[in-house]
Amino acid sequence: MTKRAKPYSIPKVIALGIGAAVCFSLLSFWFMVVQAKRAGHRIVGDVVAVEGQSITIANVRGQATTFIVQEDARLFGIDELSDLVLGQRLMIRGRPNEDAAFVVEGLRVLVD
Amino acid sequence: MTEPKTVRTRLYRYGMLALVVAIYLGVSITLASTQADTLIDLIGSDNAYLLMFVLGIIGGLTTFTGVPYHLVLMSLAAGGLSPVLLGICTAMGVMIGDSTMFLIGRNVKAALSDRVMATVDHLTSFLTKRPRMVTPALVAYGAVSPFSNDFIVASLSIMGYSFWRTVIPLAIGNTFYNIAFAYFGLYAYDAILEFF
Repeated sequence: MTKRAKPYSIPKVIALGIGAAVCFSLLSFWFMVVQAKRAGHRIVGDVVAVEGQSITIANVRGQATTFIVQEDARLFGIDELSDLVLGQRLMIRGRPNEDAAFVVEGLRVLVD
Repeated sequence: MTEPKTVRTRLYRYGMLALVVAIYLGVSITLASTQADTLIDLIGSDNAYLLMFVLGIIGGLTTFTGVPYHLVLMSLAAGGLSPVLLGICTAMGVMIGDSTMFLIGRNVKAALSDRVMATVDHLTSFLTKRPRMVTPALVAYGAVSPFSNDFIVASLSIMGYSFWRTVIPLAIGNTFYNIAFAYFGLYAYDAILEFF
C-alpha cells in the first residue's frame, strides 16, 4: 500500500501568493511615484480651442489650460497648429520658464 | 571522472538561468522607468496598444510578471492613450499567455511531484462539488486579483477542465481589471504628486 502524498496547505499557498503580490505591488507603486514625479514636463488633454499659436486643452478632470506654442516647437501627427481639430487628444511636452509659464517644446496628436 | 563535468553542467545551467533572470529584470526595470512620452516617441501612439498586447502575452506566460506590465499600462493611460483600448489589448495578450500556460499545464502533468498532484486533486474534489461556482469565481478572480492567473490556469488544465470555460471567464475578468488599472493610472499621477 503506497502512502498518499499530503496536499500543500491552501491557506499557506494563498498567503504566499498574497505576499508575492504585495511585494510586486509595492515595487510597482514605488516606480509609479518616481514616474509621476518626473511627469511634470508633460500635459495631456483634448483640444478645446485653437487660435493662431495659442491652444487650449482640457485635461481628464475638465481643467482647461492655454499654451502658447513656440515657432520652433516640434509637432508630431500634424504639419501646423491649424490642422488641429477640436476634441483631438494631445500630449504636450515642455518646461516651465522663469515666469512659471509652460514653454511648449513638442506637441503630439495621440491616436485613440 | 564525471564529477567535474556535472559541476560544470550545473554551473552552466545556473549561469544561464541567472542570465535570463537578469535580462528579464533589466528589461522590466528599463520599461518601468521609461516615461510614457518616451515610449510613445519610440514606437508611436498606435503601436503602444500593440506593446501592451505583447506585454500582456509575456505577463500571461510568466508567473511573476515583474514590474512593467501594470506600470506601463498605467503610465500609457496617464500619457493620454485610451484606458479602455489599453485594457482590452492587455487583457487579450494575457489571454493568449494564459492559453499557452493551459497547454503547458496539460503536458507537464506527468512531471509534477506527488504533493503538487495531491494539491490539484484536493482542488478538483472541491470544484467538483461546486461546479456552478467555477465560472463566476474565475471572472471574479480575473477582475479583482492582482495575482498571476498561471496557478489557476495550470491547475484547471491539469484537472482536465475545459479550455474555453477556463480562459474566457478569466479574460472577461482581466479586461475589467486592466481597464480599471488604466483608469487608476490616469487619475493616480496627480494624486501622487499632491500626496508626496
